[in-house]
Amino acid sequence: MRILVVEDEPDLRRQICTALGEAGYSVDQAPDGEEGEFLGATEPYDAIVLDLGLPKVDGISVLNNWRQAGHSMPVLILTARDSWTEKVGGFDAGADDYLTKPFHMEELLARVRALIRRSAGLATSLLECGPVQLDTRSGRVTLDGAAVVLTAHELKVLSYFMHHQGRVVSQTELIEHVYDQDFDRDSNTIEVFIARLRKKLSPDLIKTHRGRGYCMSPPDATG
Amino acid sequence: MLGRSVSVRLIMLSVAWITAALVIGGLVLSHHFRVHVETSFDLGLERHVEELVSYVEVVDGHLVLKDRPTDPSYQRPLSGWYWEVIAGDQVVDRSRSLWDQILDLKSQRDHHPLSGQTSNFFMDGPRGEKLRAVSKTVVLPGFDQDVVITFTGPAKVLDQAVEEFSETLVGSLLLLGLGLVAAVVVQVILGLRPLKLVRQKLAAIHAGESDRMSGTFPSEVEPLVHDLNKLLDHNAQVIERARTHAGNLAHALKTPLAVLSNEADGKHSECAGTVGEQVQIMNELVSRHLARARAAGGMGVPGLKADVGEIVTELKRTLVRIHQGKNDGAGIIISLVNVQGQDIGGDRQDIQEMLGNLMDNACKWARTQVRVSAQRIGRDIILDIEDDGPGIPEDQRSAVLQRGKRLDEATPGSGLGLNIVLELAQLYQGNLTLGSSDLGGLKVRLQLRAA
Repeated sequence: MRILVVEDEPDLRRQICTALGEAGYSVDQAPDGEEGEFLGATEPYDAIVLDLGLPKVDGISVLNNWRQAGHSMPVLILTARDSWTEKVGGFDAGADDYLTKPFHMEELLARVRALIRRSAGLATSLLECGPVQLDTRSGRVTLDGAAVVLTAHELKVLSYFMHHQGRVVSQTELIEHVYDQDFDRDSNTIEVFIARLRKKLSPDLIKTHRGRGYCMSPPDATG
Repeated sequence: MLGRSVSVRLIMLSVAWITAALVIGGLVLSHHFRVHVETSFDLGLERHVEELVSYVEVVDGHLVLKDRPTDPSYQRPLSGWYWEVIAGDQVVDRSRSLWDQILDLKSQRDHHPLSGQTSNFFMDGPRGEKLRAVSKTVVLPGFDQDVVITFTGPAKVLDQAVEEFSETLVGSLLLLGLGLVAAVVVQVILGLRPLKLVRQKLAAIHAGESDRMSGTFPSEVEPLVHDLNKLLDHNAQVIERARTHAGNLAHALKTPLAVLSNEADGKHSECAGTVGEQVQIMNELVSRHLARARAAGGMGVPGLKADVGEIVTELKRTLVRIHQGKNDGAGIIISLVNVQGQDIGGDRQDIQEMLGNLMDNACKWARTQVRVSAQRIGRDIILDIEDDGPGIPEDQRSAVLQRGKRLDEATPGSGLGLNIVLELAQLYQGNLTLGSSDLGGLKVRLQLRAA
């Protein structure tokens, strides 16, 4: 899961990025509205944390521009302005959630988690695929009830598959959502992660569709 | 009163001026009339004098009257109409009306004019009555003494004529004065009517019925109205600027607060705990004073109006999205009852703030639905915000309205919501009460003045 943080205050940006990174997300950051708008429009993010009081272009305009260009990724507005006028304005501009400063980091993480889950059309934070369960709140993975230990990158790949079950996901899409912008992308590593997941969880959980990508679905659903 | 009312001042000044003008005018007129009446009276007497002069002859060194004036007034005893001819110090002849009296001419300063000349004067008659007299001194050939011929008439006749004239004059002048004063009063009332209109418009602004002065005014009042409008605009601008500044300060503080609180979060030192607590306190202070500054700013601005229907529709749209994850992903159903066409007198943002907090609270606690209903009772609009949540037991309701008090620490929110709404409502001379809803949960009743 890849997330963009657009916030002009460097300390707060660092704190949010660190917390999101620790929670298992790949995080990109932008210090102003211009760069944020560009990144949000060009990179496929699973969620965006957007400050409203931004230099160069303000947050509401950035959000408006994204929505007008047809980008529908979930956006969490993070702002000091907590009046209902601002909230109504934010939601009307196309925000999916609204968090006012100061906030608790757990609250932000919970909101981001809920946003990603909702945009995938899922109602609970406990994702299931056959014998595999992923608790998006804690990042805990179990196989038939027994805990499985995964590395950060394995967890990211698995989480993306769990959110998009039954859909063929291309390698490029996986790379884009698993790595942040600055990461040296190598498609071979994706194959390595998938091989490791198959080994740690279940061999036939993730199927390869030659030339198209991978698809995760419960074993009984595909027969 | 005299110093404060322009109307009274104008009328008093006019009355004083009119009175002075009429009194002086009356005195001058009456004086001229008297002079005129005396002149014609004197002319009459002079004619008699001339007549008598023509009757006087000198026969053998003695004065002889060939004839006597025929006017019967001079025959009637002590009528006031007298004549007398004096040669030297001797009374040569006199009118029959004088009877056995003579005219006391010696005490009169002008009784003996120079030869050939006439003098007019007042004198006292034999009965002490006032007389108007004309004396003429003639020199007759063959007679070595000056002959003084004097005719008198009663001054009462003069006085009566002047008195009658004065009575008529005073009556007319009084009538004229009253007419003038009435005209002044009407003029002042009509002339000051635009000022009254200005006052009415100001009252309307104060009552919140309008925010500027509109309409056409006379060119003398127009600049005043223009300036008043400018003042109103300036006032609104100042308030807007103050609000913006308060908002900017509050919001600028919140980002550092967020950094501090995040830095302290998750660290288990005493310092981190203190920082966390203080950040929480600062945040509540900022929110509280921001809300108050905003509301207090809005108080003074007249002519504000907030459309309840529009506000709650907007809030519903937003709140449905905020709480879409509730109720196992089914969200909260918000129903609006009779909210269209209800206008509250107040700043839109303040009303939105109150309703937003109340509706958000209701959504937080509701299981499946929230209902917002409005009704107008007299001059007030009563807004009920109800939910089907757990409600609040009666004995705890007053505690909820206290500053920052929360009954359940687990549900997110600063706990300031209801308290801020209560404060805002009180600033607007409204009220906030808690009760039970037939939906099963809490009913919050917000009472505000209609626009």
